[in-house]
Amino acid sequence: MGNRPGSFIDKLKNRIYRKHSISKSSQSNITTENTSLETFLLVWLDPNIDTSKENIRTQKRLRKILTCLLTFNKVDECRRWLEKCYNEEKIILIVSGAYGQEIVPKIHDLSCIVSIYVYCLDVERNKIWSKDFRKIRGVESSTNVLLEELENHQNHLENIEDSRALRICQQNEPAHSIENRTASLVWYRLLLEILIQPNYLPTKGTYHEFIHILRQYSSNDEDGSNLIDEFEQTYEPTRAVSWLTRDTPLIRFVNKALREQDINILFPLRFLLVDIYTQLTKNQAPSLNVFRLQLMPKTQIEDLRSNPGRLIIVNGFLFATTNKSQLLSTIQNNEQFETVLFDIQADFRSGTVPFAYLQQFDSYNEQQIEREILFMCGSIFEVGSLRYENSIWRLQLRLTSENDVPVLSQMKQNLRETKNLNIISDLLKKINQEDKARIFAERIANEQLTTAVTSNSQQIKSIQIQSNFNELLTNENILFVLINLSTYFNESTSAVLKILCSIEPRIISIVDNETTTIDLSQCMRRELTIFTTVQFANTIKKYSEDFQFFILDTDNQNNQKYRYSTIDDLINRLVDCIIEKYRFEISKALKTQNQTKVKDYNQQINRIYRQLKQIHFNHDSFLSNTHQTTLIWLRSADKNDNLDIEPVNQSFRDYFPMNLHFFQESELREYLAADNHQTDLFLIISSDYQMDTLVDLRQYSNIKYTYYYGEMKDKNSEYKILSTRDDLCYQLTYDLLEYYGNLGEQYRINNQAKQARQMFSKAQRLCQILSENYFSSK
Amino acid sequence: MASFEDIEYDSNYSLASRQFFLLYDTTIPSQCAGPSSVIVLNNASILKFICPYNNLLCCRNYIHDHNQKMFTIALSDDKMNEWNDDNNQITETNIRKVFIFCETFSQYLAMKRWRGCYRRKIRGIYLSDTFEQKLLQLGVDYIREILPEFRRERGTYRRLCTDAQNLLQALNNYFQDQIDSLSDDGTEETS
Repeated sequence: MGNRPGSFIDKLKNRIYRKHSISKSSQSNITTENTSLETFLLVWLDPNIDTSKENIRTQKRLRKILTCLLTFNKVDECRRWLEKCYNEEKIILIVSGAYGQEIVPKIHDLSCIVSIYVYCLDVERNKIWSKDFRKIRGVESSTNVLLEELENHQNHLENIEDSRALRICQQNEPAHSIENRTASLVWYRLLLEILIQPNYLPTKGTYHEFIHILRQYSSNDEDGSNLIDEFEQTYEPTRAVSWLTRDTPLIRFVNKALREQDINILFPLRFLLVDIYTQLTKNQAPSLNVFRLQLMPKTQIEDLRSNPGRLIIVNGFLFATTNKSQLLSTIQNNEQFETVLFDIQADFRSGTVPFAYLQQFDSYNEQQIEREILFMCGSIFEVGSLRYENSIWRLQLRLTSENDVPVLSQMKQNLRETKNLNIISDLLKKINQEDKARIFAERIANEQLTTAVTSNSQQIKSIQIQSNFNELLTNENILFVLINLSTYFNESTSAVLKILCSIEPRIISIVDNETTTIDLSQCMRRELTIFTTVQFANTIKKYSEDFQFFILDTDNQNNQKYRYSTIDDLINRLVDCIIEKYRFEISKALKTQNQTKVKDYNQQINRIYRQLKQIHFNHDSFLSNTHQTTLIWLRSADKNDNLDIEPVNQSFRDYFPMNLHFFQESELREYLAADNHQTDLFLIISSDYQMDTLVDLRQYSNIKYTYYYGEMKDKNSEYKILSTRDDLCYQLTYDLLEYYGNLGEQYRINNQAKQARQMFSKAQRLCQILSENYFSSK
Repeated sequence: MASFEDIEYDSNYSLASRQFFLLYDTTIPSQCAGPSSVIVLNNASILKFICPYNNLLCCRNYIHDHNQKMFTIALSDDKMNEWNDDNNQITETNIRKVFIFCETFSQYLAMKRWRGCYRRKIRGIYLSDTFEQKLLQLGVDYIREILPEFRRERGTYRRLCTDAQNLLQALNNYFQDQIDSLSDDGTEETS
């Protein structure tokens, strides 16, 4: 089996991987210097590594434990490779008995070597020489025992890596004098914010980019490739947590990326983070006391002891259990590290990460007692007491809200308001993480570029480009020609042209680099509309009345007819010309009473308009498959609306799965500030509140409709006050009708037919309700 | 192909304290070379609540003369510009809501950026693809508003209810058309 030529492992072995492109699919030109997607590399040195059938079978089994397995059959080659490894790489070496005796003394002290296993036939003989090397963890002749040992060891190492990824920092620091350790907490939480929450990054999905990376990485591994196939075929957002809890290379990739805060991998993992976050939020557990065993180096224990009241941020996902006694029964002795029992008090409130019981998901495995509860990555805990009891350390932790960390909440608010992503690069630079700052800046630039490039190059490609204008004159189908305008196209105009060309590919043509002088008086064809630059228009010898010209003239100060000062205005004129053409066709079809044609042309017009509106106004471009609506009541303090609440909630239970009641404006504002804006809100405000409150709350983008309900106090108010329950129910029904109609339209534009049908059907039901309940003449 | 000219206004609506006007162009729109009937109203016959005008002056005079009434007005972007270009001060405080329909995409974008008169009263700007659906919806809400005024006139009350039901049925049909036009991949099917 070995290392397949050209594969990632082959490149790694030959050290040519260091500047590989992370993703072609995303058109990224960012390079990564990661050695591997996993924390540990497995290196196996054996003279018969690829010639023995048994060894080839073992290679396959080893790759289930660690995908990144490099094989060598020569000592010198392996030694040279190991010596070139970087200090931060973590290598587990498997070596045959004879080769081991030769290579181990030479490479044992390399810091990249984490542990060594001697896999041999004569165990007793090899134990003799190996006892002098502390990194040798075992001398085994049985493949099964070796694999079992390796698996346990790897889990153990992963736990140690988790402890290394814990960050300890101050809780109360002003933003202007933030210390390095706190800055490292803040930038990471801000990064997770922009990755998980919508509205920050222009590109929607990263799923295909991640698959591409996985395929590159696992091309040497048949099982790994099969797993990717399975992932590709079966992955659904609602099963994201299941993938996280299965023992596959995927979880090792995710863990490593989160622990090391690897921006290059975290961006492509965005889809998974969003889906897990959504699942955990939907299945949020109540307040819990949970436990976790964590191996920690002594220095870290000392740090915690001397700094009570500090914060710990867990970079990755955190698993825990409620069953302390069962967890304690699994403790194993460890000479190198201290065992710490995390005693976590987790109360869910605004600003804490979500956490949920794994039994809510189909991945729950009762055998894994330490994996009962899952906390979202980036959880923050306040450090309580730390004491040593019965041979283990016990550390009290309390799940902390980001609102309890003033510097974090302040900077997050700043990020939300300004959408200035440079805040993150600035923080990275502040803590001397220049490389990460550069990668972040490149990645953000790339995200924006990807959107622009995709909509420019891919869209322009689909447009018919003619080599020269004279050829085009013989093509009677072409009605609209754009000459020498391509260099002016921007993202928006390219997107418009793509839509036009996809709907009517035959009638539009683009001619570039046209330099010949044109004499249109000699041209016999009719009906041609030319869009071009003022420079090109000036070269035309003679005009013909059959040709209509629209000219891009950036100095058009006199607002001359048929001259446009921006490319956007010119292309919008092209849109109007095409619509006019349809309307002429409709007139002709009407004369011949061809109703099918009339309908077809009208549909074309509607289709163009719908798609163009999407480009220009980009309404709610982020639509989830499970669009949620919530009815919120901001109730009067004296609860005089008590009688209305239940009947209204009951009447609209099919449309508002969730109802929330607030009695204080401040509580509502707190909820709205913390809400992740994935739910559309319908807000009913008691008329006891000032009108200004309603006006102000309308500023929140996810509040779709507001209702001022109760006694009419200001008759001159320009806002409608709904004074009866019947009026309120009517208005809700009427607005829901509009809401679902719009939503159906959005889903249709996004090519989500199933969801579009569901929304239009809901709108139909609301039509019936209005007709029966409010316009029955009886 | 029905359009504004096919609307048959029911004069019972003129008895209400609120009226719904529509001001449209009969000439070729300013930037269009095509036929004048840009907006298709397949349901023109049931839009009985709409009082259509094609003359700005007549429309404005009526609004001036009935200053005790409140008006909702839907008008073309050209008529809106004409209204704005008129040197007379715009004094119609009894216009509550304004809805604009545009004949061309350029004008639609320009209207979206509109900063002229009635900006605060403009409740929606539409192209031909959604305007009829919007009129059906607005009609339902308008009838709901004026219905209490006809509680004692059972005949008119019933007629208005029937009109609203017809509008809702047309909306229902509209949504059914949308469902029928969807193919499984979400794109629209062409006949």
